[in-house]
This record gives sequence, structure tokens and C-alpha cells, in this order.
Amino acid sequence: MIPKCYKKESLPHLFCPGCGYGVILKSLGFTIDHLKIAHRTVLGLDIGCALLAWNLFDVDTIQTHHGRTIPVMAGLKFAHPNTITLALVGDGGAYAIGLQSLLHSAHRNDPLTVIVVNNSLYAMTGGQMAPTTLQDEVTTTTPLGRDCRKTGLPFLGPETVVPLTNHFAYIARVSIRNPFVLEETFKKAILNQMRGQGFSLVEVLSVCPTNWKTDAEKTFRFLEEMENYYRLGEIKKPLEEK
Amino acid sequence: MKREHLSLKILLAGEGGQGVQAMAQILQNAAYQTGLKTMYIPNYGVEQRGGVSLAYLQISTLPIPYPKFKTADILVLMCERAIFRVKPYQDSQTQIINGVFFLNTPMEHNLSPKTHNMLILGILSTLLPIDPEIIRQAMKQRFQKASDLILKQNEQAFLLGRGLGLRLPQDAQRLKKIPVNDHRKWPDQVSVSKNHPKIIHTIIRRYCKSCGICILRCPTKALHFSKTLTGIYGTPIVEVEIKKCVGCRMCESVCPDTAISVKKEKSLADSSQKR
Repeated sequence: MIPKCYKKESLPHLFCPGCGYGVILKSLGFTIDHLKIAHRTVLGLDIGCALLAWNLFDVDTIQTHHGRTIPVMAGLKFAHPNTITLALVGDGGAYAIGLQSLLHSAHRNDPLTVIVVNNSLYAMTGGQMAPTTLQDEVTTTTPLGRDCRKTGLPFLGPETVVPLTNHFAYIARVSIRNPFVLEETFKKAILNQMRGQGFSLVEVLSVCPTNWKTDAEKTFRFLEEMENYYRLGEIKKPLEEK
Repeated sequence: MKREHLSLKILLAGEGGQGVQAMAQILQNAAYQTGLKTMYIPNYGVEQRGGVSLAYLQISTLPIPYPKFKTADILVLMCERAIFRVKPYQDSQTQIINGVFFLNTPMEHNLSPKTHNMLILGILSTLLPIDPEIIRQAMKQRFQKASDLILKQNEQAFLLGRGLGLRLPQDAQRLKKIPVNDHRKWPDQVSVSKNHPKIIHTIIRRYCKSCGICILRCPTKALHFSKTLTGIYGTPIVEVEIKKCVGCRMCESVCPDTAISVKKEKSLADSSQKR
């Protein structure tokens, strides 16, 4: 089934076989369809594999540099408060190069939705170590596995952001294993923005079969390892307004 | 009139992973060792797998000012999907080597299908003013890390291609004809179950990239890779054994490429009969 807000001419999309982005974008597409917000949505794409979605949706799209998607979308939201602004950022853009943008946006409580795709490495450049790389995970730059004594523990993004936010923020972590949960979480995050309450961040644990060099079965076994370290669930729910 | 200057513009186009860039690198090395001026620039998309990969190669006796060009003297096609991409590069003078015809030739001679690029290199070498022995040396240099078997197979494929290339004039007409197999017109694979309720399982062939996630997640193991049909990347697509399908729509929800849709048909007449 194809979401209505997909551009059918640009299918098949540009992602690798088995890429987690396919499921994430499909769920996002169904969410946009369900909430009927395609006409006023602006999708911000970060540099990295995320930008391969540039012609996939039939919604307005902006592509910016590392992690700057978040302040750009925040600025857009201030100029046009009626738009629904979605920032789709990779883990490198959000947690390494553009961390300051994410932290300040959460601190200001900007009313926008940030979707961080965590696939534990820098996928587009060939699979280098990222802050989110798991312990002993083999990447191009850590051929013997990541040594956490030297490089620190894998970075917990949402947990880092939580203390900065006020009680209107919605912060959750999901995995691509269950697309229905993914869709439901996106819906909650976008509804939080539509109510004008505040910041919402969804971290999605994704897969990268090309750089992990895995087949379907091993891919999902590795995703399980990621799910064991990065705890899934709603980390912070917004306070209901009375 | 015989031309005083040699200037050849060669465009190689194929699927990512077919070895298009390796071919261009070998030819560039061989042309350089012959004492010709040469320039090569690769061109491929941001996709790590399965994009169209182009290699612009120029061989000349004069210095080359710019690596890219607008019309090619020789156009080498390695896959069907590249045809749309390289069509603007040909004019009436362009000589086309259509590698799509030779996709099965290595297998017919007990060679690995991966030696296809060396076969085409052999054909291409008959059109170039470079000694084949030098190309073979360049090939050895390029594959020095590979095992002896691979090198031997590549050399065999190269010689086979050279043999084919020397017979080229008779086959020229055949080579110039470009087959068009437009993937946008591929039909969808629809299977309908006989039992009640009817399950309509559709696989859109041109979207399937054979990642195998649906096969892994199917609870009744109703899906398997096809033995005959290939998808957009030349890899086998998924087929359904409709007898085993229970219509749970798991494959539809987990497919990253939106290639599968499952519908359960429940007409009003059927449901009233049941009651």
C-alpha cells in the first residue's frame, strides 16, 4: 500500500534494499494522510541519507546542512505558525555535528517535531563510527569494534534532551520493528505540535543492511541488540492542559 | 582524409557493482602506458547500491582540457536501466556496444557472471589503438589483490570478448539495436486465493529490491524469492504461495519499498450467507 502523499513518479525510492528509512517514511506518510495535513506540512531534510527522500513526498521540502534543519524549521514555524514543520535528521546530524541546534530548540520549547533516525553509524559516507555506535560494533573506523573506554558510551539523545524541556514536550523512542507503533508515535508527536504546546522528539531505531553488511535475518538480530541498549517507549509525555 | 589527431570519447554505463569503474580504470592505465593522453572521471549517484554508474573516459594524442563531454564516440551499455540515462550522449556517429546482449555469454562458457565487464572490455579493446597485451598487464595490476582463479577467469573473459569483438562488423547491425524494456511498464504480480474470504496479494515488480524482510517476517512462510523474475536492481523479486497466505498484511506493513499490498475481499452477500 502506498501513502497518498507519496509522489508515485519518484518510486521506487532511492534508498538501499532493506533500508529502515523506507518504513519510517511510509509510516510518516500514513500519519500525514490520516491527519490530513499534507497541504500545510513542510518537511525539513538533513544532510545524509535523509536527503534521499527529497522528491518522495508531495509536500513542501527543504534540505539543509548538518543538524541545521531544526533551527530552519523553527524559524519557519515562527514566520508561518500555521504550518506543520517536521525535521527529519540522522543521528550524526542531530547528536554530533548539530547537537547544539537540537538542545537549544528543546530548551526554547519550539513547537516543532523532530524525527531522529538512529542507525548507529554514518551511513552515507560509508559507515564510520558515530556517537550512537554500540560497544564492540565493527564500523569502517573501528575495525576491532568500538572501545567504549576510549570513546565513551553510546550517546542517549532523548535522555539528554529531557532535562532541558518543560512539561509540554513529548519525547519518545521507537524502533522500525513495529510500523504500527511507529505510526502511532508520529501521530502523537505531530498532534503535540498541532496543539501548539511544544517540542516533540521521536528517536527511531533504524537499520542499515548496506553498512552493517547483513542480510534480513542478521539485520533484525542486530536491531534487537540496539533495542536492548536504547530503551524503547515514551520517555516524556506532555502534561494535559486543563 | 586520415585524421592526424586521435581523440576518443568513451562513455561506459552500467549498474552499480557491475565493474564499470574498474573497466575505465584498466583502460586508462593501459592508455597511459601506451603514451597517450587520457582522462577519466566517474559519475554515480549518492546510492551505495544499485544506482546507474557512469564512467567518462577520454583517450587522445592532445592534452584534454575537460573530463566530461556531451557526445560520445563509443557508448558502452552494460544494463537496460542505463539506456535512458545515456540516450542524450549519442549522435549519428556514435558506435554503440550493447553489453546487454552478452549478459549470459560468460555463463555459456563456464565463467562467473561477474566477468561480464571483462568480456565487454575485450570487445571494446578491438576498437581502440591500444595493444591488448598492455591491457592485460593493466588488468593484472588492477586485480593483483584478487585470487588467481578470479584473475584467470577475467583473462579468459577478456580474450573471449576480444574474439567476439573482432567479428564485430558482421554483428554490427545487431549491436546497434537497443532493446527497450521499460521497467515502468512491467505488470504487477497479482495472486488471488480461491478460498473464502478472497485474498488479493499484489507485488509491484518494479518496486521490489529483494531485501527479504517480508520473507523473514511472514508468519506462515508463504513468501519466497522468485526463480525467474527480477526486480529493478536485477535481483530476484518476492513471490507468494497464495495457498499458505492468511491475509495478515504483515508483509505489506514491513515492506520498505511499498511493493506489496494485500486486500481481503468480503462481499456483502458472502457475509449474510454466513449468518
